[in-house]
Amino acid sequence: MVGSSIFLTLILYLVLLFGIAYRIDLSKKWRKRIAGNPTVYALTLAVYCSAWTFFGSVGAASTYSIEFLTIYIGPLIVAPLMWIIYRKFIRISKAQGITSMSDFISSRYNKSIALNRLVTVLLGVGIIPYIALQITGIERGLETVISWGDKSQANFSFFGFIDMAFVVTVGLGLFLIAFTTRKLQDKSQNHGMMGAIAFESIVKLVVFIVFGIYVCYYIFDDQSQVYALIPDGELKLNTSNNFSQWFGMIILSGLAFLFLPRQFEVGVFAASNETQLKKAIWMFPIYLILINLFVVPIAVAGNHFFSETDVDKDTYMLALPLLNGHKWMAIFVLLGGFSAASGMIIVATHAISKMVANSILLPSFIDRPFFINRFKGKDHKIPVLFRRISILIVLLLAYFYYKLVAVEYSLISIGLVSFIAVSQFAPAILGGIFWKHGNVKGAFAGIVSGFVIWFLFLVIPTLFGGTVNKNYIMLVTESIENNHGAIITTVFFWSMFVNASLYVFVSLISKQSNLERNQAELFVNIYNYSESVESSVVWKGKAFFPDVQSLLSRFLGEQRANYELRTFTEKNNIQLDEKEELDSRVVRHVEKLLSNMIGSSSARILVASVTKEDQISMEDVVDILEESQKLMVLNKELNQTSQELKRLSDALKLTNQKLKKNDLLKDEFLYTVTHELRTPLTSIKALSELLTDDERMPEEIRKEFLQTILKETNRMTRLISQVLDLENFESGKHQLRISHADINELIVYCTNTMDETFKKKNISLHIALDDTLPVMELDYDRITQVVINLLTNASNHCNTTKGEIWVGTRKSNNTVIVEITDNGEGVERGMEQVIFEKFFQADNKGTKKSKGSGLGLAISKKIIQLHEGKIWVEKDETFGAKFIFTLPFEQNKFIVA
Amino acid sequence: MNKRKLQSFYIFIGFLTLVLVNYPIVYHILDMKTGQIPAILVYLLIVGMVVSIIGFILEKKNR
Repeated sequence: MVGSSIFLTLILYLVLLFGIAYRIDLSKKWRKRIAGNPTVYALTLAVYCSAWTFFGSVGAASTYSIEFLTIYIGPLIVAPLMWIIYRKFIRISKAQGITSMSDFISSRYNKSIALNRLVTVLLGVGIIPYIALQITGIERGLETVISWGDKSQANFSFFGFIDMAFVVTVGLGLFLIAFTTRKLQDKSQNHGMMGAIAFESIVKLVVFIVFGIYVCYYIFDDQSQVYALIPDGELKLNTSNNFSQWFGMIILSGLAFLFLPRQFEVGVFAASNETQLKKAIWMFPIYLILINLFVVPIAVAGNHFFSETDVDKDTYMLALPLLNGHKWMAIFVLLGGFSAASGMIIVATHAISKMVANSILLPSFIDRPFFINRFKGKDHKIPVLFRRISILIVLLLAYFYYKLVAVEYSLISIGLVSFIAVSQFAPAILGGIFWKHGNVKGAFAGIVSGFVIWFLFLVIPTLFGGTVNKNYIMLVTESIENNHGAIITTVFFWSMFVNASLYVFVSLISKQSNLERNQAELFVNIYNYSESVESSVVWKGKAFFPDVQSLLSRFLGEQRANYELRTFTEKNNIQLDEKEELDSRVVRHVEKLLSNMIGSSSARILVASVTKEDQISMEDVVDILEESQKLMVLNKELNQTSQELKRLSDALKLTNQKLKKNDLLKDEFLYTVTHELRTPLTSIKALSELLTDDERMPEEIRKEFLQTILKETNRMTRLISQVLDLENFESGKHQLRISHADINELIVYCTNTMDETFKKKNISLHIALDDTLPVMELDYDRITQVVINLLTNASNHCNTTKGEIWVGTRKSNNTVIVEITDNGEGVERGMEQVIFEKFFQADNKGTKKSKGSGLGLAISKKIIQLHEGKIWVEKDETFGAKFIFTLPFEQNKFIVA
Repeated sequence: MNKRKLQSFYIFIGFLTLVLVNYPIVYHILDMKTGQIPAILVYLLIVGMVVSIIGFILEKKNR
């Protein structure tokens, strides 16, 4: 009964995964969201945390204390280095149309099909146990939950022979077939699967954290209560371990993180662009921190409750809630473990099966008459069929490995064996992208030797038992004192040492082929060639357009094949003539397109079947690389020039806009000035005419007219001198005449000058001056002009029945603040800035026409700015407008008189 | 920040972390205590956070 309900839960979870992947695949909007999303990318990288992390970490922590952390410290260290290593992988893969790890290695080393197959087989051998480990994790979890308290349920199965692990394996196989082989896809079309993997990463993280909180704060009262259970209160490293083992495990896990096929799949081939790496570099370490946050307390709690029992340490996560009678929590944890395991199984199987299909099955059968005749006109179905077959092969092999071998070992031991296997590719891959002299023979020698050591000392012992293992290790380590226990790190060290040494040594003593030299240059200096890889790859031979077009149509369909060819030839200015030999760049591009779908080996075989390839000479390689280099230099220069031109054009545009604005302002200014001059001139002209025409005009009226003419003339003179002043300030012609002066004395002088006006208008003046102000540096006449202008404004706008004006000074740091306040209506809200513009009153719409020229405040602002001060207006809460200006005590740029 | 500088920074963090999490330091910290939580866990948490924060800052600077 329990078994059935758990089985139903897992099936529902699988259905949910199908639903998510299907939803993403179906919707263009969702596909787009998933494709470029750096968070989704970082979450897919967390496929590193498999069932091993979920169940195995607690098992390892309860046995080896904090040494389990080395598995996560390695990736933590290499996470920042992803920008250097993974970025190059991504760039190379996109430029060369590489879609699998074996293709990556073989493309670099002479495009060797043999090396491609070797890498595929070795990766399969190395990773299938790891996939089996995930099945083991699921099976152990299921068994623990089902048989808790009732051992008779331990071997729950359907019809007596189909166990749950098999059902889950088949379910995941169907998922893979549905979302990765529905049709012939290129590498960028697995968004549904990637979305589901990101979702699984969230599920396992949430479950782990929730469970950690449950253990620390539900089973126990506090986290410290759990830590108090540690013997002696401290975590101890295993005393028989030493520096080399700690260091070795860190390096091993770091390399495994970079070179595990599933990491390569999500980190390199599923990456939409390199910029996604930038976010992953900090998000992935945070994920690792979070998922390991509660491992130690859970392990300590597990040891506390189960150290004297036969409960498997890898199942503490499930045993703890079951012991406390919380079956719901156990199922919740099982779901988290299932998501961790299934994510890994999906991606690893996808990666390995792609290699098996593209490197072994397809190249062997694709041009066989049986398949050609059977799938006539539907050639694109051949790769799909082989992909499906290879998925089943990989999953079934993993399942049988689990049944026959894996159940005997702890999760961590199987995982580490796989880690060492994938590390064997590190010298060839890293050497391939950073060292031009590495060659195919060196790669063969290194990989084979490393794998032989790995197989002899780690795989054979798992097949024949621990005694053989111990004897082998003794052979290797007998000369190294006190290191008999470090099996994993010893095998890791020796296999890597022999592998890397042979790779370098054989590469140095053997020659590279011309094609290999070409590829080495393109891999190592990919940033120089990524824009023009097609023209940098040497291909020499005879090919004709109809053959190549027909080949591409077989797999892409006629419409898409024509579109791809037309786009490429138009972009590269290549003329297509059916009778003429085809440009080698087109052949290379077709190979790349095919490689994207069916792998580089099959693509190479198929292209070779419709073309006649010639041997390339060293001169060809040198010529084409030189040409590419020249092209790139030219492109770079062109790019720089166009950027410079764009910058200049932007600057020119800005200047033009400024000039237009200035022109407009000038026109407005001229219009306003002439308008302001015309009013008095009209008045003067009219009065003068009257005076001339009417000789009998009474003396009194004549006098009055003459006074008006004089007044208007004065107004014009004042306006003209103000315009001239403003022009002088703006053009910078006018320099201040700085002298030492007492600002208080200046203000008193100004108020005295205005005294008569104030009396006439019945305005009361209140003065409050700060006596502590020092003697200042200022242009006396100009500041006087400002103060008088502000006092005049205040007198014009203060209350008409009982006018009042307040003048004050005060000190603030090294400046003086002068305030002139009236009791008028104040400045309208929103007009605070506008009133300082030229001819404000001519433009203003909200205030009544005042008596001035409209230039006074603009001039005042200029004068204050020249003194490096500020001027502004505020609406006083109780009174009217408050004009404030500040002046520094000292001036530093003008001559002090 | 130019590409070369950025690349150097990433290599520097990688090596710095390698030094910070290695055996002599870890072994030394194992003997220390920080209240009730083992010091080594707090230390490794801080190192992990530092790597993430530096990565975060570099990402923002490199935008």
